Amino acid sequence: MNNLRHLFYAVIACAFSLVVLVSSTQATIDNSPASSTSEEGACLTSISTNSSNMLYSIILPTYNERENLPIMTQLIHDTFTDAKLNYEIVVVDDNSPDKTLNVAQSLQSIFGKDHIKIVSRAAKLGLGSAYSAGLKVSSGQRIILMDADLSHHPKFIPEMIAVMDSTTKKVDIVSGTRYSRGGGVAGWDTYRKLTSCGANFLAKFLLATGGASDLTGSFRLYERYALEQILPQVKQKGYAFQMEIIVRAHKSGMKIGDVPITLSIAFMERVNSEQMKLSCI
Amino acid sequence: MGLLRRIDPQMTGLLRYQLFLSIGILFIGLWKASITRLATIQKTLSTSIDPSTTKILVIYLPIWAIILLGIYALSSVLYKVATFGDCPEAAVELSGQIEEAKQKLTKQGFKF
Repeated sequence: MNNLRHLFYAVIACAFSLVVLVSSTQATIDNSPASSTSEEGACLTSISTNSSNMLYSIILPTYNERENLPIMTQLIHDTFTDAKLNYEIVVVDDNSPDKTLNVAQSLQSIFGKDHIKIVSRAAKLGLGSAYSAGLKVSSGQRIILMDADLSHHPKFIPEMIAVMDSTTKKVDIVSGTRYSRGGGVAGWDTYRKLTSCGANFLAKFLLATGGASDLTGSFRLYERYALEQILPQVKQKGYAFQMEIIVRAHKSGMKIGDVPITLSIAFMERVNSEQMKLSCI
Repeated sequence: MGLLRRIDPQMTGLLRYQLFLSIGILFIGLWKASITRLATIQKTLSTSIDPSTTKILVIYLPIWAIILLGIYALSSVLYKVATFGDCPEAAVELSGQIEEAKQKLTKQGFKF
């Protein structure tokens, strides 16, 4: 009787290890056509539009960014002019009490309507919907999502574009990562680093993310079709929003690239410090 | 995790809970088997490990596994924190560029 039971357990153990192996090999077979079609799609866009003629849309959701927005705009303008790339900035303002909207309008008169587009919303409606609203107005084939508070420096955008243009490994999303060599943060205390690393470790352990190294970062370059596909599905808010994008992208067979970035917090902590602590880890 | 990635490099094949479930059941099966065959294990290890120690090792196997997992998690998070790049020079560079940008904007007629 005892032997029989022992045999039974051994069979269960073997069966399950088989299930793991078989379904994983099947999955790789199943996934290869899906990923190759997305690669084809990506190749088509890069062939049909020369990357130097391509328009890059930068969506900047703002709330009380009156001081940061002009500087951000100037930095973006300089970066893209130096790299000889076309850009448009889409400012999505949620009725900021500090009249960020007026600042955006005067920037529009300086840089031109083709460089700066404005979406003005009646109330704070959340980051996800701000990106959707910005995406609708934008017309670039590639979209950059970043924070308008100067914590993300536009100088990394050309590096991200270079990764996306690379023909050796076609990627649909390029994520700025603080964890790689060359990346990092300025002025974070150990506690905050611990929160960030802990959250990223937990997410990477529990979720399938395809090896993206910074899941909670919010500085990323997307192919337009990638963002159009994923954004409507995302339900989470705050840093979990950024995680969900990566998880969903990975699930639908998209490839994710990495570029090391450094994070500065020159102005960030002063404005909305409570909210920043939550949304930026 | 490295092993898992080798089995399924993309990690898209199984949903994560299915993966955890199969590993868990595999583990429970092995554990139960080694409890029922405790005497055999004790006999084979008796030259190097005391039978009572073997008994403790086998019976509390899930606890050892959890402790090992905890050590792995803690050490990898602490390693990440220790190697987290600090870049005060980025903040310095930025504050210089902020001044530059302000001058450019003022030149173009922007009022701060």
